[in-house]
This record gives sequence, C-alpha cells and structure tokens, in this order.
Amino acid sequence: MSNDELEEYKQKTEQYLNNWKRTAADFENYKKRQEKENRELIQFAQEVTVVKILPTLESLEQALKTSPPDERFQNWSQGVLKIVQQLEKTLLEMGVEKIKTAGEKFNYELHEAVEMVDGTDQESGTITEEIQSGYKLNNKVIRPAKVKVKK
Amino acid sequence: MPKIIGIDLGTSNSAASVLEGGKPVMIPSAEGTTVGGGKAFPSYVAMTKDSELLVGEPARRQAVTNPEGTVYAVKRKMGTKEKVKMLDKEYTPEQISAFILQKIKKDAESYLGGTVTKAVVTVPAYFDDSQRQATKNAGEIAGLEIVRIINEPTAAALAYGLDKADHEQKILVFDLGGGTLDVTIMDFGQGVFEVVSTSGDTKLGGTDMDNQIMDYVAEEFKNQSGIDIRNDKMAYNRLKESAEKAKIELSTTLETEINLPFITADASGPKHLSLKITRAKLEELVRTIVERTRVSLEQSLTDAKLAPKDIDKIIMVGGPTRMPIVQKFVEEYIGKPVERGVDPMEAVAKGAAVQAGVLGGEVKDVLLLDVTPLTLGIETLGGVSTPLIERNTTIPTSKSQVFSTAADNQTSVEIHILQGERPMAADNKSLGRFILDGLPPSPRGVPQVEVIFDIDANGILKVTAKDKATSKEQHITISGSSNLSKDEIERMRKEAEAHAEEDRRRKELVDARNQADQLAAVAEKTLKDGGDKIEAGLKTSLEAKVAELKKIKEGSDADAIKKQMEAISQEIQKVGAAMYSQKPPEGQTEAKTDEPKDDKDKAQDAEFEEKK
Repeated sequence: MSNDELEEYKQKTEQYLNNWKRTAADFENYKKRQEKENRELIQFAQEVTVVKILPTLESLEQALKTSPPDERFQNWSQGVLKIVQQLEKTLLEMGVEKIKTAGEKFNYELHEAVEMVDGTDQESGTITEEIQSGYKLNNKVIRPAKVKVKK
Repeated sequence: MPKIIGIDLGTSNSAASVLEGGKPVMIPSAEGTTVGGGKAFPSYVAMTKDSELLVGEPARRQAVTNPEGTVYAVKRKMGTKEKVKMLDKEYTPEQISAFILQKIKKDAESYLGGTVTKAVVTVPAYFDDSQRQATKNAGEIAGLEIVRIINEPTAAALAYGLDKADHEQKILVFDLGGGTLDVTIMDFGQGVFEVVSTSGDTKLGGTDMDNQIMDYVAEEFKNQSGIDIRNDKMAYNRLKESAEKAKIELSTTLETEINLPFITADASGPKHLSLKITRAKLEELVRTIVERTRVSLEQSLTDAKLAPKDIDKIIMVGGPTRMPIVQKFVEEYIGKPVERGVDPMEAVAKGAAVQAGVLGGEVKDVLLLDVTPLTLGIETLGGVSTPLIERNTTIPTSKSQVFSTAADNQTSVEIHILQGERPMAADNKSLGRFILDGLPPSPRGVPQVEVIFDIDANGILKVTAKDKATSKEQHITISGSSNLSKDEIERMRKEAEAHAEEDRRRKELVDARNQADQLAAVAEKTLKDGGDKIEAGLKTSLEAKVAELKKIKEGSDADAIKKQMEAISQEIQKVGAAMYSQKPPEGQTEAKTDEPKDDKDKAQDAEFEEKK
C-alpha cells in the first residue's frame, strides 16, 4: 500500500471514528433529554387541558357578574356560583392556582400589563384591575394575568 | 466538539435550532414551551427600574409599564449609527441584539448540556454589508462567534433540502410575517444559492389580517346588540383570543363558531356573542390584504426578468402563510404547488442549523442510515413465516430469538430465511437455507436453538443458528437482502396488502393445526401417564375425540378444529380433576418444575418445521 493510500485510510478512519463518536454522543444526550421531556410532556398535556377549559370558566364568572338582581333568581344564582366553585376546586386539586392581581405589585413573571392608568391613590406599579385572569399549574405560569397598572 | 447552532434573529420573534442526528431540532426558550406559542420568543429587550435585564417573554409582558426601558424590533436599526435608550443608558443596536443572542446562547447551552461558542445567524437578503457586519458584532459582544451569516431565504431553502438538487433551479421564497412581507427569488446551481431579486412590503402582514377579522366580529356584534365591545378591554381581550382560535381552526375546517356567552351587558341584561364564521367569509375578509402581496410578487419577477412559469420551487415562510388562502394565492400566481413539510415558522432557524452542521463538518459525508425495506424472518412449523427483523428497521441491527424442535428426537433443524410481508413462508421470497444438525435426541420443545439475525451497515445479513446445549452453530451470509429494486419492494408490499384477508385465514388455519398437534400430544401424554387411574369411560371418550381431532385438522376448517380442541380441553380437565381427587396435593408442585426459570430463555411457541 502506498503512503498516500495509507494516509487516505488514516483520514477516513479518523473521520469515521469521529462520526461514530458524534452519533453516540447525540444518542446519549437524546436519551437524557427524552427522560426529561417525558416528564415535561405530562405537565404539558395537563396544561393544554387546563388552558382549554379556562375560557369556559371565564364565561361562567362573567355570567355571575351580570346575575339578575331579581329576588326570584337569588337561589338560582347561588347555584351557579356553586358550580363555579366546584370547577375551581377541581382545578385546585389538579394543581392549578389563580394568580393574584388587583392590589398586588406588578410582576412580569406573573402578569402582563395591557394599560397604565391614573386616578387611583394607589402606589405606582400596583395592579388596579384584572382584564383576564392568569393561572399557574404546579407553580409554572401557564397563562399570565392581563392587568391594568397604576402609573 | 461543541456544536454550532443556527439562529433566526427576527424583527419580531427569534428562534434557534441545532442539528441532532443529522436533523434540525428547535431549541426551546428557557421560559418553557407555552400552549399555542411555538419555540420562538418575542424579540423584546428591557431594563427594569431595578436594573434587571429582561429578554423575550418577560420583557414583552412589562413593556407597557416600562416603555422607556423596553426595546422592540431593534433589527430595523441594525447597521445604523442610531442609539437606543433603555432608561438612562444608551445602547447601540448591536448591543441590544447581543442581549438576545446571549439569551439564545444560554438556552442552547442548557438544552445541549455544554458550552456553545459558535453560531450561524440569518439576515434578510436585502441586508447590506454594514448591517451584516453589525450582526456579526452583536455576536461577538454576546460571546458567540458568528461563523457565517446567511440569507433568510437561503436558510429556508436549506431547511427544505433544496441544496440537494442536481440541476439548476429558480426558487421563490414568500416570507409573510406578522408585519412584513419579503419576496426573494434565488438561483440555485452547483451548490450555491444566489439572490436574483428581492422585493417586499414593510407594512403588510398577519397583524393586518387579525385586525380585519376582529373588526368584522365586533361590527357584527354591534349590529346585533348596539354595543361596541372595542371600548371594553376585558370583552375585547376575550374576543381577540377566540378570533385567533377561529382563524387557526379555519385553516383545517370550513366552518367554526365564535361563542362568547356573557361577553357584556347593558340595562336590558347580559349579551352573548355567538357568530358562525365560514372559511369563505374569512377569506373574503383578508382577500384585499392577500391581494396586496401581488405587487411584491410581480416586482420581484420583473427585477429578475422572469415569468411566473420560470419558477421551479416555491417556499413559504412565516405564520400567516399557514392560511390556505395565502398558499392558494401564491400557487395560482406562479402556477405551481408550494413546498410542504417544514413548519413555516421554523424553516429559517432550521435552515441555519443545517448550514451550521455543514460548517461543523457534521453534514459533510452525512451517515446515511439505511432501513430494511422488507421484513426478514424464518420459516416455522406449518409453513409459517416468523418475522425476526420487521421492515423499516434502521440498520445496522441484530435480533435473536430462541426456537425449539417440533418432533420428539429431532436431531436437526432447517433454517429457511425469508423476506416479505406475507404470513406464510411460501408467499415470501426465499433468501437461503441451511441445516443445523447434531442436536442431542430429546423430546419435542426441549432443545433450545438460538437464531441470530445480524445486518451490518452495508446491508449484509448473517444468520446464525446455535444449539444452546451443545454450542454447535451454523451460519449463512446473504448479501442481496437490501438491494431489491424499488419496484420489487413496492410489488411485494402491494401483494401483502391485496392478500391480507386470505393470508390471515390461512395463518389462522395453520395456527389452529399447530395448536391441535400440541393438544393431541398433551392429551396422549395425559392418557399414558394416567394409565389405569383414569376411568375407562372417560378414557375411551377422550381417545375417540383425539382421533377425531387428528382427522379434522387435516381439513381446512379452522373453526371446526377450534371447536374440537375446546371439547378435548374440557375432557382433559375432567381427567385431571378426577386424578387429583385421588392423589395428595404435592403433585401440583411437581407439575410446575417443567417451566423454565428464566423467562428470557423460555422457548418460543413457534417451532421449527420438522425436517423431512
């Protein structure tokens, strides 16, 4: 075998070995990450479910806000309120927690500011009103709360 | 060697990708994957009053509370001398971009579990030298060596693998983002992409479409209820979310409903928003916006001195291009279908990762892993084809399984190697056969013969049979197992499909026959072992039934065989029960020792065809 050929094979060997090492490393990392992702996937599947239920919960909450003042409906409204509480309890059991808003200090990890407002005598940076409720699932923010903040 | 990552440093969103096992994978943002949002993050940078630096989603959330400290879309200023202010301090556009790159570097490092020092970054095709240099500088500030700057349309083409073409082609890249449209025509030949023309509109994008939809719904609601919910932040926010959802749904369905109960209220009571939207209606709403892209399409073709028919490939980039109407519009204008298969939101980052892989030496001489085109197996009792390596298994691979003999005192087994998807050996292609002999005489099912299939990277199949008791072994090497022509593979697959039902019935019959054989053997053994202890009437009845079974199993009625087997099983149980009632219970433990202790070594049910 000529020297050139030998050199060529040496290079090839080197390259193949490198390719193999690379693939082996990719695979090792893949396995490690797969384990982590499997865990995250469960959390994510829950998140998807919860996030999809939230608009319905909001509709119910809205419904309660406009419950008729008529005395005849008092008991009925109470019932709907109980339904909302029932749903909230289920969500709580699943690890879902409502993010506190009005009166709290604005925190970019939990809240998304949509508007700055004047007028109230609250301290600057305090949340004055909630536009959309936010939620945490197992301590991870799955939907930040949309809020108005005191200028 | 540390990996080189690919970065899509966008005006409104940024994302990164890396090549893994030869394929680009998106690197998730540290804030985690959010429902509805992809792996990209908004290109926001902010400095809070507490001197905290924020990048991405957190920066966006606080933007309203801290407008003086928040910077967005800094890409538009790249290459200019303009300074950007965050609170009291001034920054160059490079420095702001560097904050974004730093975040990407950090995310990539935590994802890959190692340091990342090099990257490929994409820029618009129309970026001039100073803008490209500024992008490189941003990398340097962030501690990332930008090993290559590539054009966004080139990256998209790479993501689609268009660099693999062996002939010259003209590629049109239609990039419609949230707020801008970029149309690029490229010439690809001899491994090089060359930009022929670019055109675009900086005030045209998906946001316009969203507004159009929102206005329509709000207007409809106003007509019904007399209330303009655009003035009610809370209601408008609810509407925005469901309008967005409806838009996405209409990409796959023809009709959807926006349903928002108790959206608002007036003196007369609560109001509900409920509106059906068809895809036709949605398309009518956004048509004027889609039509506006025609100007840029025409301009880019004129500049390139090309007619629509000269374009060979169309690539779509950006979220709004997911809408069927956008695709249809471009397809009709050019007269060709658009390329599919890569998420238009991820194409640029993924293409950058492909380029990074090439520069890192990872793609060059990429290890092309083959798969076995058809199932490989051996023939077992009754002419059944038992698969060892299923089709589409990536090679090199190996697989082993333990088989046993079908008859008492069988001293040799024949290994008949088969290829194909049919359950019966005769219908599959025979690749070769060999005999392993010298098995010590023993009752059927006792010998353990391990059959090993090993396919190396070149597709060469080596089949080894080894008797576990004597360690005697035989093997055969077959080189032609994977070089079937495409037509042949297709033909064999089609045949398997066409005969599926008939094959299933034949297999069922053979299985029934094999089980019948086993049961007959068990019954005969029971009769022999039981001897006089079995009541005479029961004995004759069982003997007659077994004789009957042997006759039926030669026929072709699988159900009849099963029925007869059922009858015999019951009879054997009766015999067993009668015998146990006479014997003390320790007989039970005795029966158990027959089973192999190690599950792995347990012989499979499938047994070799008896050697003739």
